[in-house]
Amino acid sequence: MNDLYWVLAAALVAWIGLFAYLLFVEKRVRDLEERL
Amino acid sequence: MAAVIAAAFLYAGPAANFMHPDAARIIFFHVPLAILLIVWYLIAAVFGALSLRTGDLGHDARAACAAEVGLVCTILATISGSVFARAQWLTWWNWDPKQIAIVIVMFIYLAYFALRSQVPDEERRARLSAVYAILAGIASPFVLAVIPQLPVFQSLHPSGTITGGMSPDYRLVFWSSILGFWGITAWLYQLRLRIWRVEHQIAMRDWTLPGSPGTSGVAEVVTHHE
Repeated sequence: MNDLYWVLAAALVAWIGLFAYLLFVEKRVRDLEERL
Repeated sequence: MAAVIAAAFLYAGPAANFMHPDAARIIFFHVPLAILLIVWYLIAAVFGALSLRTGDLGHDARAACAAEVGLVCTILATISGSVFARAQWLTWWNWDPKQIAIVIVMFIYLAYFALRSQVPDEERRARLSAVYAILAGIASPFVLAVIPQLPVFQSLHPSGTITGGMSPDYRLVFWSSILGFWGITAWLYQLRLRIWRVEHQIAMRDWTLPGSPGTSGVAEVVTHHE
């Protein structure tokens, strides 16, 4: 496998991980602010 | 951060002293997370100490939010590190001292959240988890950065890469990446703290609504005085 694919895989892990957490937190903030 | 990703592929060249020079670029994503997890755990320890000193539950919430962001960084650093291991050393997991260390730190902070979830009383929870956050915050840098460097352990991880072992192009992309990851994790921390604030406001509002335990408690005290 081309080494650059591994670099892409590591970048995706970092970014998808942080983005998923961001979406989760953002949704929770929105839900709670609606309840308030 | 999009610029950092583009620069990792287009600006930074292959690194000569790696087994797979092209795959060395993984350090732009893996190492900043590994550094920032220590920073967030230290921030959690500082807020833990402030919480212990002042008794302010806000500091306890700040400590928990910082630890949560640190735990997210730990999980992502472990997975991206495993990708690095596969690319450089041809196996996903080598039982390298640093790989073992990061899993230990992950369990230390999973235990922190387990502890918090088992103490219903807010003030007791704040005191217990503050002590835990301080001890864990002091231990984590040693477990992650000091112990694996001891001569008794033979680590596959390259040493001295950050402290002077990088070419100027690598240094520029690396520090830009740290800055970008710091900005995003700080944003996540702020959002996570907002959840605590809104939950706190909802709890206060429910407490003071007619018929809630808060108001009935006040009514009982007033009746008693009359």
